[in-house]
Amino acid sequence: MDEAQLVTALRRQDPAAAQELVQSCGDRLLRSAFLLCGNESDAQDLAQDTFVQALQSAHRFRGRSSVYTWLHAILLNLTRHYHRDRKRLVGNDELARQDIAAPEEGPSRLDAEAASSALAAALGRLSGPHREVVVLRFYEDLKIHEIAMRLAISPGTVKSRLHYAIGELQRLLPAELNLFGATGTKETEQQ
Amino acid sequence: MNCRGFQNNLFEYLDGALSSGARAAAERHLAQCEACRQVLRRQQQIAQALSERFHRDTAGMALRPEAQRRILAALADQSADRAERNWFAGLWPRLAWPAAITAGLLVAAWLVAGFPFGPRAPRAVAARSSGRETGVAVTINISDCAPTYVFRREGNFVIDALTCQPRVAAQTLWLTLNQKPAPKG
Repeated sequence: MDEAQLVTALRRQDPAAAQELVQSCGDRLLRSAFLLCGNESDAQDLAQDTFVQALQSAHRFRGRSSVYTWLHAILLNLTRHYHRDRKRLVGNDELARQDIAAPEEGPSRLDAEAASSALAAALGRLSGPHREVVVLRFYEDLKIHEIAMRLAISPGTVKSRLHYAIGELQRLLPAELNLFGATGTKETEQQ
Repeated sequence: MNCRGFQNNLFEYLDGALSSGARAAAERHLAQCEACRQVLRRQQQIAQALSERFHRDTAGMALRPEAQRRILAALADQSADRAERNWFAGLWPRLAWPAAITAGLLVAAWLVAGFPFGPRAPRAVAARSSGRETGVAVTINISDCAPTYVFRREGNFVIDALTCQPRVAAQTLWLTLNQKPAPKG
């Protein structure tokens, strides 16, 4: 089934098409959701909600982008709601306040899998808009103008967010990872 | 192109999104600027490292089978809702004509019989005398309230009070519709 046929079948609410959609895009979408939210359990929920919302609104999909792009746009929207709700929760929660007050304790918000990844932890400390551009650029492999279109912001804003986010990642990542090579580490140390 | 110009367009250069003229200018600048070559190399390393790391860190993740089941269950619920809506939508054309005919009959009955339904409707009665007259009995209930000031003395005070005695009067009227007599001759 090609994409056009898949979309037609999805508009008919064909269960076989829905299954094919989940199988073809599910894992990739889940991984992107994980990088965007930093928690695998929440990422599972976000990916699931994305598919449910996509199937509900399949009749509105005009086919101007790929099916995955459409799904990812829904995911980005849901992730923003997720961060907003989480922020509100953090504002009211004593435990969460402790978490903010002592960031040096480590990525306690993250799952066990995420905790093993210093990169995921560093990503989790970026703000939502900065995390979005990093994930779209380095995981979804999008060009600057594509990110700008996806997020409805100017290419200049995308570049400025990327510059800032990369600088933050270099600052937050432990030196032993040596992720960015000697030059990056040296410059970070000099600062 | 100077260093600032090159670094402003660094991402577009990496994306291959510069115009041919701008790309040629960027390459001319790169050929003579070691610092910008270093910035470019570093940006490429960062992109490669982050991309590899993201893919490696998430490689083991898969959508849970229960999530897949829930998605398909939500679709089934949605289809059932849609079928229900379609059932109601299909019912309407079948009910529309009977409903329209019933409404038409009710309107016709109202026009002919003067809407003979309801508790207060005057009843149409047949003519009493010659059969050429028809009449309608109309009962009119009139209620009014006549205000009365009452003064009474209590010690050194005079107290006034406004009282109201409701009165009800009922009167039945016969309204007759006279038909003109047929012209003689």
